[in-house]
Amino acid sequence: MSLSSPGSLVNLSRREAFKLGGGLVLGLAFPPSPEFLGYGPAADATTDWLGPYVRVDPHGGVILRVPASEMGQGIHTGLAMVLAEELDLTLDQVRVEMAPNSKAYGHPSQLGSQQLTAGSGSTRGWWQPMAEAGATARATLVATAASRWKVDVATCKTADGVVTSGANRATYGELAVDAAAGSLTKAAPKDRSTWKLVHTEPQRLDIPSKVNGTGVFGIDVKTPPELGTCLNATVLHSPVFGAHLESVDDAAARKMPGVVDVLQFTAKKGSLQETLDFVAVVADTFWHARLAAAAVVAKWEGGRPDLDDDAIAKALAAGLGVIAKTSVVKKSGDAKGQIAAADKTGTVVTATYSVPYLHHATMEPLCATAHVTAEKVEIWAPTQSQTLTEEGIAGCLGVPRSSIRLHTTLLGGGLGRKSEVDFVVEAARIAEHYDKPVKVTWPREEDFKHGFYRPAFAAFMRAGVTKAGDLSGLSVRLSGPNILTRFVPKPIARLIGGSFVGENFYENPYTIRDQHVEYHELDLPIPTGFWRSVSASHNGYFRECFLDEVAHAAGVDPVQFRIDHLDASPRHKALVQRVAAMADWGKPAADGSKRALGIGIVESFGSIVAEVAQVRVTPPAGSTPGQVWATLEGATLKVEKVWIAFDCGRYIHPGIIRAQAEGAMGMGLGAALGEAMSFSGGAAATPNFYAYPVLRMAQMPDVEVEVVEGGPDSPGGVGEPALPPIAPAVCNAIFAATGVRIRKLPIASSGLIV
Amino acid sequence: MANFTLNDTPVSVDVDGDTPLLWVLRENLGLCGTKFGCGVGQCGACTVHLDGRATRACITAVVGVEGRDVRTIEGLKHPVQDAWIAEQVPQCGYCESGQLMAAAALLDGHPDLATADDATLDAAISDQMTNLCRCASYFRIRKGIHRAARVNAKENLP
Ligand code: FES
Ligand code: FES
Repeated sequence: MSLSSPGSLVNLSRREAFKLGGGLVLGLAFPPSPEFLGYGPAADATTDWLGPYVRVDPHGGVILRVPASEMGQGIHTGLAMVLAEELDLTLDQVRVEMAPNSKAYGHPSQLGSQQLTAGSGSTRGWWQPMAEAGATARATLVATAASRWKVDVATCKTADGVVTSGANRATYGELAVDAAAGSLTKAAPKDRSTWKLVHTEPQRLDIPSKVNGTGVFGIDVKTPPELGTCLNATVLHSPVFGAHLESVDDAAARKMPGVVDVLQFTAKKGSLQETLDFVAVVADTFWHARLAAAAVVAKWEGGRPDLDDDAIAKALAAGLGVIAKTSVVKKSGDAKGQIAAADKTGTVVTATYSVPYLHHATMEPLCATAHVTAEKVEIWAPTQSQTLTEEGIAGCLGVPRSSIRLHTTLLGGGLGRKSEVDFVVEAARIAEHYDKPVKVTWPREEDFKHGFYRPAFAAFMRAGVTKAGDLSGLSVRLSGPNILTRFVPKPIARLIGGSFVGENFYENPYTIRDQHVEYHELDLPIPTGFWRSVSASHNGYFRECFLDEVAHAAGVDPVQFRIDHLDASPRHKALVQRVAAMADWGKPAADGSKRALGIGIVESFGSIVAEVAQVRVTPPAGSTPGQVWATLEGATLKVEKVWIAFDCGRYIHPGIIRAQAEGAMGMGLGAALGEAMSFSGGAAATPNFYAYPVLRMAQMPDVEVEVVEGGPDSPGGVGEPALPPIAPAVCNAIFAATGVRIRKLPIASSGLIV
Repeated sequence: MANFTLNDTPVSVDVDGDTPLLWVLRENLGLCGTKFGCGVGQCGACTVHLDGRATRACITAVVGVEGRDVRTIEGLKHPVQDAWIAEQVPQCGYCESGQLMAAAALLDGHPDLATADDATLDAAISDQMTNLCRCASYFRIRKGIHRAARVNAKENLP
């Protein structure tokens, strides 16, 4: 029987869907406990699936399978709500399980149908297919009931998991076996006017497991006992980027307690992402492996030992001055002419901004568990990237992709780092040496040393302001590494890189007739990757701070200035007005004192977010600066309050969106205040959290979030878009407080105590 | 051999005395609710209660807990947990075992906070809650502690 559900799943027969789930569903080999994620199905069902996402348990309850990884963004709850809505179920009647790796669960609309949780794309991609699958499952249950009762389907109603028609009544569970045996009845999703669950704020399904210690993260995996006692390993990579392994003296390490082996691996590329040379120390416990790893003396050769913070700063600055290699990202009108004219009759604002390399530092260190036999490779991992992991393992181990079975656990944060596959492929390569499973855990130091960092960037910006106070031309030159060169040939990366690294300038919501944006690509031997909100994380800061400077030069209030230039972008304009109203922009504090406020608005991943920050800057004891401060050195910054207006178009769960807004803003605030990777001798010089100050409790402001549906009837992203506006909002507020511009992040580098 | 009380039950583990309590809990005793975040006492993901006080298990050698009382998230029954659900605090959730242990110890160690005004409680939270949360769920952690403190206040009424 073939399944006539929509989209990419058309050709998946129900039998195939069943097989995909075989291990999980039938409880054959895994999981040992059905509570795999800590909140999954409590009992095995025996019926077939109604399509790839829905299975009705004859004993009660409905199991919904979600293809996206849960890393705190609430996607398991959000997509369960979509399915439950269509099935007329309450959320407490459903249980969620994580989908296995399979083409059937490839993302419907992004990135070549990879199964990948990234780019704030899960709600955007999955809402429609999930809604259609839920509607189809409901229609199938109704058709089963109607034929059992010999009534017209039109007489049947569904509510809370029960089908009724006149005096007839059957729970979904009572219909489950027959429904699964018959053919599917395709149906269209509900009209939004009839939603009962979507737009409400039920408690997240995963949260109970995260307050009692039962949630299973990658690092917590316990493999089934029948596979043998799980070994533990840790890994060592070259401290210097680009160096290869020369030799290893492991004599001392091998004699240490619990040590099983010390293994050497050479770089191998199984998919787009490669694994480097590395040493693995395998032992009975991670602690023993960790102790022995400290006794391994590995010699690495090569790399660029001359690379350090100074060299990076020089390269960034030089990039701003290089004409020859600079590519024009976008040009409209005659920005240079306008700026030259403004130079004669008005004002020209000129500024250089820069941001450092940043690290993901997911709270859960990198880890993965693998078991490799002749027939199959079984993986348990906190990954955002099922397809690339499968490809990487198939390529490196030389096994067919169909032999790889990937169990995605809860992720203790992904942030983009766990969309890389290195840590999982390494685990498979290590496990290939044993007939037992091996769990590999990276010490935090190794994680800091081998990041795929958010690249450092610099921007040189010029704008003309006419005598009348109008913005008459904007010229921007960006300098920084291009992440895309890792994935596509350089000329192509360069071609498409402009719009990617030029995001927020390329698609500028402001009406600026004369605009010229250039990008100079830097080639630095530091691995870069996708850090939550990616290019918007730096360009949002550059653009929104610089516009503030221009507004100031034009003598116009920064909120008004934005409103004046947003006629062509009504959603942005409304959002600026909304956040200004939330923050009582322009009004003094209750006690009549002046407040220091700053604003930033950035669009990314299909959503627009405007933020206003209120700060207090306290001068060092004994000094009383005037209106404009000579220096921020020794003064103390407190970010007191942040207001967020979040326009993500059509949405599912406003409470989850508020939580994501608070969290993404907080992560962006931590980065703006203090985060910077430091490099010396060609290596990362930031070993652990003591040198990398992520946001702390004492720095977290009060937050107020409003979710606005300002756009077309389609969903925007949620996980990332609230991050970029906070750096400019805070820096602009610091200017309002002190008259000093922060043109370099982190803010702490200005001497301000954060 | 290390002997201590774990979640009200006496345990003995045959392990080197230098082994951090974190790894004894996770690897020798199989209790994985206590998390590894940094291994150097910086992040608080490994926070447990040692004789009722919040303690970072990654830098506590198991020899140091000999004969003492250890409580982990698996053995916690505290109003902070209900408050965490009510305020929907966790995001990825990885830090939250540690946050909850730290928050419970903060409130239990300072009964006066239950009736303190909001500003005093906020100051105590900023001062004492030093666990890191990369998801920055701090605003809700703060709300959760306020909520739990008020529950404590009610329970303490004469
Ligand atoms: S793991 Fe113990 S403080 Fe970070
Ligand atoms: S909830 Fe993710 S680190 Fe705190």
